Amino acid sequence: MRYHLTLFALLLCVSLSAQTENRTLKFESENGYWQINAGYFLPVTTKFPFTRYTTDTLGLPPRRFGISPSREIEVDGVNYSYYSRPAQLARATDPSNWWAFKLGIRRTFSYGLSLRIEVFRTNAI
Amino acid sequence: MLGNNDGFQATQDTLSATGQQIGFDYTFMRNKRFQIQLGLSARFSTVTQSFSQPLFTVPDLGYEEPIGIPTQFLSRRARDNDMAIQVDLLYRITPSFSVGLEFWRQLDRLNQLSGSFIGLDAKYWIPAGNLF
Repeated sequence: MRYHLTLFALLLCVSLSAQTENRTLKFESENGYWQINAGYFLPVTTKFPFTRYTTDTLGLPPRRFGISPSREIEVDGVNYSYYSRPAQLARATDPSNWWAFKLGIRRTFSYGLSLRIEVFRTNAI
Repeated sequence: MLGNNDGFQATQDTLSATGQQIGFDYTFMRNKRFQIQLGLSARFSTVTQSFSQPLFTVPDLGYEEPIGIPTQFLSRRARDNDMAIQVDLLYRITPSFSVGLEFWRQLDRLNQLSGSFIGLDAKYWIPAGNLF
């Protein structure tokens, strides 16, 4: 009787171990997992070339911001339209305070493919 | 602070973006504790640009005095959509929890702004049948 109980316990342990191992191994190969992710990010490289919207802008609006001229001045019969420069230039001189945060969900499919949807907030665009 | 020589002076400003990313990823090195994911995503963001004390001068044309920018310029919002690529290096602490190092770089359509970020990322994995 004791022999059978010992054998049963041993088999049970082996079975549980195998199941645990099997679950671990097949985790990634099994399709249909959701993944919730969150992260905090800092800049590693930056490149901020700018188009200047200063005294010679002459009616060309800033491309990234659909704004109107801040002021129009006529000098010697020429109309000058002035645009305030994008604020990124001021910020680019001090990148130490940049940050980004992301929160997302991802659905894994077969062959290692996954679809990801994230929401983010950052002060670097 | 910007100088007066280019006609614009702003004593302080903020710029932030809030939005969504939708992307696809491909996972390398599956069934390992270490994983690498490569992803491409589209970003749909709303940019908020604020000036606390904007001033506008025109020294080149002799207008040296600051000109106040109308109130509506103190804060403006615009859509700013672009793309991003990212590489994820994951370490599976448990089958359902992983931490990772994520690198992502923005791809700006207008080539005016771009930047690379690296950050810490935590992921929790749930079998699809147990989430909803």
